Amino acid sequence: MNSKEQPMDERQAFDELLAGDRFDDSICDQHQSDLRSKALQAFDDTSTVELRVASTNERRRARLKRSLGYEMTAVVCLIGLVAGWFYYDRIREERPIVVNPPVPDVTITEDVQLLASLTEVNTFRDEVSAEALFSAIAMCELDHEGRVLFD
Amino acid sequence: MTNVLHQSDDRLMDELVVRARSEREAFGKLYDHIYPPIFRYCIRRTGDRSLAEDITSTVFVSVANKIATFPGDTYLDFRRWVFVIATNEMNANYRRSTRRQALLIEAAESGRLNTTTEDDSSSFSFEMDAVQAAIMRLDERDQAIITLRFFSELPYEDIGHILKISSGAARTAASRALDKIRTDVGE
Repeated sequence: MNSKEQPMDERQAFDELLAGDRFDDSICDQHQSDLRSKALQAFDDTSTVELRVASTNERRRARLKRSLGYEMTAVVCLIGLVAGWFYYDRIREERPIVVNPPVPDVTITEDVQLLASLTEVNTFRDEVSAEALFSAIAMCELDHEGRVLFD
Repeated sequence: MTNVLHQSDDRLMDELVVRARSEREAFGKLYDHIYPPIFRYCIRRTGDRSLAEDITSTVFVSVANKIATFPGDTYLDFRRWVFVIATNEMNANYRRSTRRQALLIEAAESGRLNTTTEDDSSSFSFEMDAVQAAIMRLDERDQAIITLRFFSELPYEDIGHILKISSGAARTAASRALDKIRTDVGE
């Protein structure tokens, strides 16, 4: 095989030692053949085990994939819910607070009176009319805290 | 021309090794190729045909179980790998038999076993050539080196790889072991 690599003196020395060697190291065909069958059987068994392991691995991978799908869906739903809630909260905060507006109570007596006084001043332009107007304004100030409620 | 043929053969063997990981037929061909050197290695190290056959069987069943995960790509890698498995198995057997031998001697000395204990060479129950007997009296590493070098005819680089030593250390050990054998057989 690789006898060329052996220094001749080393090889020769050993060959000389072995000169009278009658040790039987011949191959037994029966053992070689029997062991071949046994080794091939072991090879087949190992391959079967590997196939089974591969199949189990595939099933496990598929289960993991499915499980991951479910988890992803759940996470997406949760994120959607949280985002929706935040959005709703923001919209709710931005909506103007509606409070009851002051009802212009133009029909109350003072206002009616003030309006009539103004009309009177404009019509007659005399002292009586002016006094009536001042009186109406004073009443309005008193009762409506200075506000004139009609347009 | 011969070189080209050799390269072609090497390539075919390398392909066979790659295919043998998954193909039954390729594994069978690889077995036919590697069985003879492995069996000869085993019988030369054990000196016992029956034991060598048992160890060879263990080696090849182990090879069959592990071939799918064999890490190499070439026949050279494969041959080294199988020799490593065989060497480990042989060393384990060597230690077991040494322990058994020590226990037998101890039992005989304490009178629990009624037998005569003689020197190591007489422990072999069969006729053996002087050189073979001298090889078997070497320690396990030297036995492996001499067998791998002179019977399996592996290069020192492979022997170093199999025994996890440098090729230089293998060469020196082989030379010393050869001297020991020579002294032992009384040359």
